Amino acid sequence: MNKVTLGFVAAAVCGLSVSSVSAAEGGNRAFNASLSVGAAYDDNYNNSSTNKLDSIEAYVSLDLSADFNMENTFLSLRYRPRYSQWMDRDDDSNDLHHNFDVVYNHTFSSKLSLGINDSLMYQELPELRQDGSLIRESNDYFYNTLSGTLAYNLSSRVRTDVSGRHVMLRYEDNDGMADRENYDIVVGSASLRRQFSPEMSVAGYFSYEDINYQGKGKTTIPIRLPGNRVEQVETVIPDRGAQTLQYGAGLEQTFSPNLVGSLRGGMTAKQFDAANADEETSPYGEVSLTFLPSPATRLSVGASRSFSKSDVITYVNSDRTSFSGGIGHDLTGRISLGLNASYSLNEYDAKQTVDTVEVAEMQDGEETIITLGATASYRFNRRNWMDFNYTRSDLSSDLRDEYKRNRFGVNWRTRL
Amino acid sequence: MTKRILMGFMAFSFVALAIGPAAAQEEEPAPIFTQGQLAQLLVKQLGLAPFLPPLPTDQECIAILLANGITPTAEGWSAGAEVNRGMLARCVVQALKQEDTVQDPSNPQSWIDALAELGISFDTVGQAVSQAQPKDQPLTREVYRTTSDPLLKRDISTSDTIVTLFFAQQVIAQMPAPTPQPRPDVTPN
Repeated sequence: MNKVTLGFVAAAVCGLSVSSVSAAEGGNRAFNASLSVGAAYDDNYNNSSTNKLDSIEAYVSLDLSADFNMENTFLSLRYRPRYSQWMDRDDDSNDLHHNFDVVYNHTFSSKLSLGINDSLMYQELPELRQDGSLIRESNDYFYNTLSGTLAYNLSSRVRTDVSGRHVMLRYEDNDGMADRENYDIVVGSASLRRQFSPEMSVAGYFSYEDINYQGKGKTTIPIRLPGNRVEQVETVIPDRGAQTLQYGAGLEQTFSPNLVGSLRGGMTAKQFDAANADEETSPYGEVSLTFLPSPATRLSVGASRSFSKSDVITYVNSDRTSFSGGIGHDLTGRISLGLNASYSLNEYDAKQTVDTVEVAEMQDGEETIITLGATASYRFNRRNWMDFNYTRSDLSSDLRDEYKRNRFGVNWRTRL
Repeated sequence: MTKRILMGFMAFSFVALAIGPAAAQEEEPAPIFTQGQLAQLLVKQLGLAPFLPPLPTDQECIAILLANGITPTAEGWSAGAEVNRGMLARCVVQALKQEDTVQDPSNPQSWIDALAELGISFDTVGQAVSQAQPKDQPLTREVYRTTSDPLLKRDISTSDTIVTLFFAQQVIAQMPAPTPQPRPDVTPN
């Protein structure tokens, strides 16, 4: 896939959207469009701990969507391009990002339904140079997730799902990043859900996931191997591929009309393609709660722990524990406030490393990722909003470069 | 791994055998339009479906609507309860962020009146829901979701994605992607 293809897809989506306008009659909005214009100050746009670069970004983004709601079929298309211009950024001062979302549902009968979701993201992250030296390699990328579920209702209270998913990451550069990080993930899953009451359901899950790195075994520019106590430079891309089996059960419960929760847990077994460990097993679990303490306030919290794909090239697995929370409050009918936070701990085990390094030379490692966000929105009227945003991201790592990044922004959005 | 797969199938089959046949003999309920069905419709209409798995459950739809402050009653959601005009009007007004135009929020008729004042009338559920506009900035951004579900995980998300969350609405991702590794001192050639 390339930019030309992307352009065709965008044109197709826009074409469908425009044609749906003419199809929409009697105020039935099949087509929606909105525009956002804003600016933000970023104090570390190159994610560096030692050579921070700050800048102001001005941007404009469109949000075009088209919904087709037929008797047994629902199709939703959404395209969101975003163009931004950065002040004082060497070489390439502008970015163009694209996001496409497609949702397709079809009901074959009262018992059989099909659902397909696709989300394609193209992010342009150009090479950055400062005073003649390379700060960041070019790493524009495509990221696509395609999911499908076939659901069969065994009865009004029992549903079985067979699902599949394909995740694809493709960096565009040929300077090592693509070889190291491009991957495909294929997931197959089956579940059986029993609705014991409208407020409670229990489900059993079974899933199989395969992750395959495209560049494994390729010869590349010399790369460092984080976590290795012995300074070692490698020229062959190690293989981080793995197959993960997950099985367990879940509960969804509406405890009261304003409190909804879900719980999920079970066992995971992960087998590695070319690692110093053959297989690892571990329990996994997650819990989430959404609460409406008052009509103007909503609160969500969640926690999860599971094996995860490794973000560090020397390790084949990470053990991830995450907590998250968010609160939204409508101060008045026109003013809304939001606050959110997340904390993730990634633990890397020296034994779960690629087989091109010696376990004895490797160290265990930890990474923590903290994100904070706050937003205040003011609604002028039914079509116009103003938003003020603050976000902070903080990566602390034993294994790779750390950074802290803050961003302050103001944004105006309007429905077209 | 083969043993694990077999164990997984066995566990899944056990659950299937335990709860499947008993439920298959149950009678179909009377066809009323429930709040759970309304939640399904609203999630599609408001553009929230991409944030959920394909064919989400009623509870999954209710949770995301609750997180966005949309409820058919002041108390919240009851998936099995029947929907009336007041509930419908309330959801549409909230989706349009026009709550401040409602004279008496405790009176369902006020929500219907507020909708009428906005020039929106409806006779059917579909007609009402179709008036709700997609949330161009879903409040799900306020929820950094963490999940262990391989059907939902999003592993990509550069730090740039994190800071553009509020603009690009890429909300489900929160983990940084691998940052480009610094070039080593040695270079080719």
